[in-house]
Amino acid sequence: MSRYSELLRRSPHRATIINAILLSLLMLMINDAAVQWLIGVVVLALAGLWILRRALVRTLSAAVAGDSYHLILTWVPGLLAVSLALLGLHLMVTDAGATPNLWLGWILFTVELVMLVVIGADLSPSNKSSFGAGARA
Amino acid sequence: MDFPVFHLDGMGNRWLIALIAILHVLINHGLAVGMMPLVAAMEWYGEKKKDPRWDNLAFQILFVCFLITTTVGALTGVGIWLSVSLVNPYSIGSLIRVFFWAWFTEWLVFITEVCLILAYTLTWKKWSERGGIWKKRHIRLGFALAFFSWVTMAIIVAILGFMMDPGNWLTDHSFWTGVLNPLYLPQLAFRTPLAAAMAGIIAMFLILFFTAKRDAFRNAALRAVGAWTLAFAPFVVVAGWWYYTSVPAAMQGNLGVALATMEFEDWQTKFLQIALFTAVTILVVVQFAISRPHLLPKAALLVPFVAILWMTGHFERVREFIRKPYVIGQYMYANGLRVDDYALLQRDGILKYATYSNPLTGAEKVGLPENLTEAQRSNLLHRIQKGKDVFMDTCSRCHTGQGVNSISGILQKMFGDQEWSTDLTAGTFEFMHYTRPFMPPFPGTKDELVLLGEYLAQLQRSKAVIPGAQSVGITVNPVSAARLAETKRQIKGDAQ
Repeated sequence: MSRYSELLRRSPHRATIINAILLSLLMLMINDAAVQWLIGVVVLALAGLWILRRALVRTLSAAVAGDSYHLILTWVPGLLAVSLALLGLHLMVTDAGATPNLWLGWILFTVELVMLVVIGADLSPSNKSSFGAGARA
Repeated sequence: MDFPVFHLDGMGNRWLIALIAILHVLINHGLAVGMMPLVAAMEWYGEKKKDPRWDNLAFQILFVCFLITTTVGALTGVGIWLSVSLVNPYSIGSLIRVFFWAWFTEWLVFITEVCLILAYTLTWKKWSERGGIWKKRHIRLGFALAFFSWVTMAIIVAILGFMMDPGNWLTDHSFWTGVLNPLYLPQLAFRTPLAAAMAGIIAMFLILFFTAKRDAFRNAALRAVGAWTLAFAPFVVVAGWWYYTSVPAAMQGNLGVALATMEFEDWQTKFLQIALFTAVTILVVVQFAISRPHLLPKAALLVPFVAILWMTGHFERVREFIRKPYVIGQYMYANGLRVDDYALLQRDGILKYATYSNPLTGAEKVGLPENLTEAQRSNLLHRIQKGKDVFMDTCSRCHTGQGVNSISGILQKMFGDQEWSTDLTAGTFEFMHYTRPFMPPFPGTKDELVLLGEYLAQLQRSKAVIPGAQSVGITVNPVSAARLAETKRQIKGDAQ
């Protein structure tokens, strides 16, 4: 147990990842397209705004300003994650019942929600690397 | 019908072109048009950051591209035009008349491209060692190579677009209306980012071979190339939509068959779902390569690599099929006959204008009805021979006898084991283009339809393979020989 606590303490966004997966599981259990759509859009809007704010801060910072490569790394992953999460949500709510679309959509939505958390954490002002994973590179 | 008929009865003529052309497109887009700017950008980035690891990686990737593009790439490039000339000399003849100067320019650009890739690869080490202005020159050489690679594609895309929809060229027949056909810019706009994204995915795959597993540079390289790939992805989507909506509605109607086969025509939605799933999988893997490259297993990068090759290859197949029943939109049918010639051919018959005849082989004569007198047998063989000529001149560009997309297989599905009588086959072929809009109308007379039916009835009995002129030769049609001789006399007379 202490090992898991240590894992969460070292990278607090891991707790958010667990919450995002649990929320996604709850959405699957709701089994109501309208509610799923509503919750999904609200969650994505919140995550999108969170990332937008951090991306803006990073874009305006001296380290990234004018560097097109880092600008791409700052903006493209987040935009892609939001787009793919929306696609996943769309697939989830389009077909009623346990169809392949529902499962594929749910998997895509969950993966992209997790990616949004990871990207947000990477864009954190406390993260000094050009991109989060850079610290590990 | 002025050329002997080249025919492959096993794989079919279309597959010969498809195999060569798809392989060439994969190499051209993935390793030349898209990869050269990426390699030059990597070299530039390495120079900017004074990091020799980028330089080494760029050179290793370039060397792979150099080996493949100058061998398989160059051979398949020439191979496309050779195979197309063999299979459908009429369409290539028409295209050369319209695009002579475009092809000539493309040849010059291609030669320049070959010289540049030779210079770029072979001077890399020496100019890098000299450093300074020489390294800058070398980087410029790389971007010049990238530009010329793109120009070759930009010229050829004009011809590919023209074949789908010639647009106003159908009325004014000028070179520039041919080049600037309605599908030129949408197709070029689609292929350019597609090539760049494709190169990114291939480069990510190659990075695994050129960097060590625990090398931190592998992660940095994967992230940078992943960013390159993702930067082009939205343009692929937007330009893809532009291209799709520019395709004439009649061609979009062929999409079901073009995506799969006639048998799986109803799978259109499922197929599009598979394509969407594949595209999303590529994006997710690339996304991981950017965010957490160290967590990405080696095998995972095989997925986008195989997926992008499959998708691009299939896109080419769809593009080739979707323009049916034409080989050049509204101008020439897939059988190589011009739309404008149909009225004449349907009045006089195609055999009257067929210069060559395709002699029946012994295997094709097997199974003739017994209890025929010699005269009846001779007469029947004569009619079957004419029927075979009709088949070779009007059907064999797309259909084989016993192989891929075989006429035997299609008739077997339609009529089963019952006798393929002329009533059944001729009656079907006369109106087939109404029920199957990707089929050209039958170009000959009703008598020729009956002759074709008699040949197909014999094909059911003999189950013989149909050889092409390349293996059994041809005979000159006596009627045409006399006509040709008369034409020659007239030309000589006019010249004097």
